[in-house]
Amino acid sequence: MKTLEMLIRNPAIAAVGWTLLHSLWEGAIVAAVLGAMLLILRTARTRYLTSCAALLALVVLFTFTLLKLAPESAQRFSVTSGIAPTWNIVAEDVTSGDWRPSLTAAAPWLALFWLAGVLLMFGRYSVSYMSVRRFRSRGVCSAPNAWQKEVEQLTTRLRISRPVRLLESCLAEAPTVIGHFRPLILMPIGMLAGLSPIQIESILLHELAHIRRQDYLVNTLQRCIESLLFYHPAMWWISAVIRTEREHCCDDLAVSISGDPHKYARALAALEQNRFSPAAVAATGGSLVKRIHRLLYPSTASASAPFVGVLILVLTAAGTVAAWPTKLSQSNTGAKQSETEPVLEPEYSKWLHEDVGYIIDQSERAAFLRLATNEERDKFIVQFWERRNPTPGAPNKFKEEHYRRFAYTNQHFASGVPGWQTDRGHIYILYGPPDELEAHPHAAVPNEVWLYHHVPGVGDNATITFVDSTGRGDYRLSPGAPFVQKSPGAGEKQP
Amino acid sequence: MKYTPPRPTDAELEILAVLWSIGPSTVRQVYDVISRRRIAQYSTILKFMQIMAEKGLVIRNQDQRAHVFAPAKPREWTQQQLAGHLLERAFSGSAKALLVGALSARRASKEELAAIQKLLDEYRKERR
Repeated sequence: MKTLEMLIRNPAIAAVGWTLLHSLWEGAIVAAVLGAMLLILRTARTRYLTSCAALLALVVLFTFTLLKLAPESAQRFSVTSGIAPTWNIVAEDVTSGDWRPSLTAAAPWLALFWLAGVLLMFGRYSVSYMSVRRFRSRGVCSAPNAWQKEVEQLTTRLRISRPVRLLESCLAEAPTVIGHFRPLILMPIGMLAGLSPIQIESILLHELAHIRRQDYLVNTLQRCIESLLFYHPAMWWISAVIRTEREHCCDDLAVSISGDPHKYARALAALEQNRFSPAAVAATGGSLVKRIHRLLYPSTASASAPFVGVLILVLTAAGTVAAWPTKLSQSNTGAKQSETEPVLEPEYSKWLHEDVGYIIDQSERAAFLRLATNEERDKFIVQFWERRNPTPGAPNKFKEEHYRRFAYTNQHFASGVPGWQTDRGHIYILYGPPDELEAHPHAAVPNEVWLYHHVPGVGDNATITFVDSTGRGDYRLSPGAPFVQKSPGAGEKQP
Repeated sequence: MKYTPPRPTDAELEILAVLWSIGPSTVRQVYDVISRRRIAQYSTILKFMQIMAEKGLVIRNQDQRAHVFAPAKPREWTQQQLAGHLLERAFSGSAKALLVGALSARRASKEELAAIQKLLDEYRKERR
């Protein structure tokens, strides 16, 4: 449990979470651009290359976003907490309509979910990799010499430099290419005898086209990217486009050598008919129908792809809105404050914003700002302290303690800014010295964990973690929810 | 005879694959095909095929001097048997992600095959 908390509070984890959110809208834009380009591009080759570029762009954007967010994330979160001065009771303050803090809390969890998913996906593909190795040797037998010779001839015609072996396999369901450096064509046993020689040549041409275009390697890399961006609808769409266009490219290459699209299409159809499949699942909307249609009538391309792109654009728009930087809302709140605030003399302004900035509540602040004369203000200040005096009439212990804390923060926490302005100062002034303090000044990322046994209005056993990601003593509240609440009584209004 | 042979091992499957590919054969013929792909020992293959005959995986025809072996079950039957095995299914299923080939991993339905046939026929008519 402790390690999970540490993970959640780690700024790097939060950066990953934000990268995931941002990648959604980035991907949507890439998919939209690709959708538009597919409307224009006609040849399978350019469509294939463009989709591959789009998939790569997703990865590049993801990496770029992550690198950009990683060092900043610590500051980012303190900026977020600065938006709402009452962030410490943010759980109650849902009326403000500011969704940013809740996203801030969710980001690390997203990151953990993503990490788990990536591990799962990579695990899955490692199993695939082992299975493929098994496929190469299990239940195979070398094809008749005549066919092996044919493959050699076609290999030279296609200008493939690597030697290609042809094997028959009793496990392969359909003709298959395995391996990049030592490519292998697996034919289902019985297929060589079951199809006409011309048809087999067509199929061999298609498989050799895969080898010449290095599709096995590209497909493996593509699967790696799929594991990384598995949560991304745009990625799945782009990946599917690549897969479709890859087959089109091979079809085109095979036809350009054999010269007869009709015969080639018939070979594909015969292959599908002869196919052995242990679990014949009825399916709808086949790609082979489209492929054969495209082979016979090359001019009429289907235009469904861009619509899917638009759909994805809509789907990911939600992510866009959610992850858009909040500069706008920040400047809005700033503007609002300066608008409503009358000009105060420096003395009173300092009192309001510095001395009691953390402890004055919203209605008191508003009341103070409504006051017209300095006399009224002086009276207000006296009343303000008296309201908080635990022993009314007697010397004010509360006020004393408050100014002691204030001085303490300026002595101990100052780093570039006065101590009271730091995150540690903020917490110290609000809640006093922690009941337990665990400091790790020499850790890789220096940090301090403060524990309060009881915090009024928040709960029992609240821990607060401060992280010094710069190493210059500038401890910041670590991202995520500011408190871990372990008692059920949390969330009641501060008295 | 209701006897069903056991699931073949990897070595047995290799021999069965040869028998399905080239038809009923002598041990010598099987050895010739296998040794084209890898280094093999004639005596090992002979031993394996004798065991397979005992297990009922192959049928031995002793009419001639050199015994001719034939698979006891057709290829489709064994493929079905292998595919029914959970481990096997997991393996071939996950391997598909990394393979590239002329057909997609998904099998075409009857309706799709009919549609393809129609396309091909129409095309041929147009050209005539």
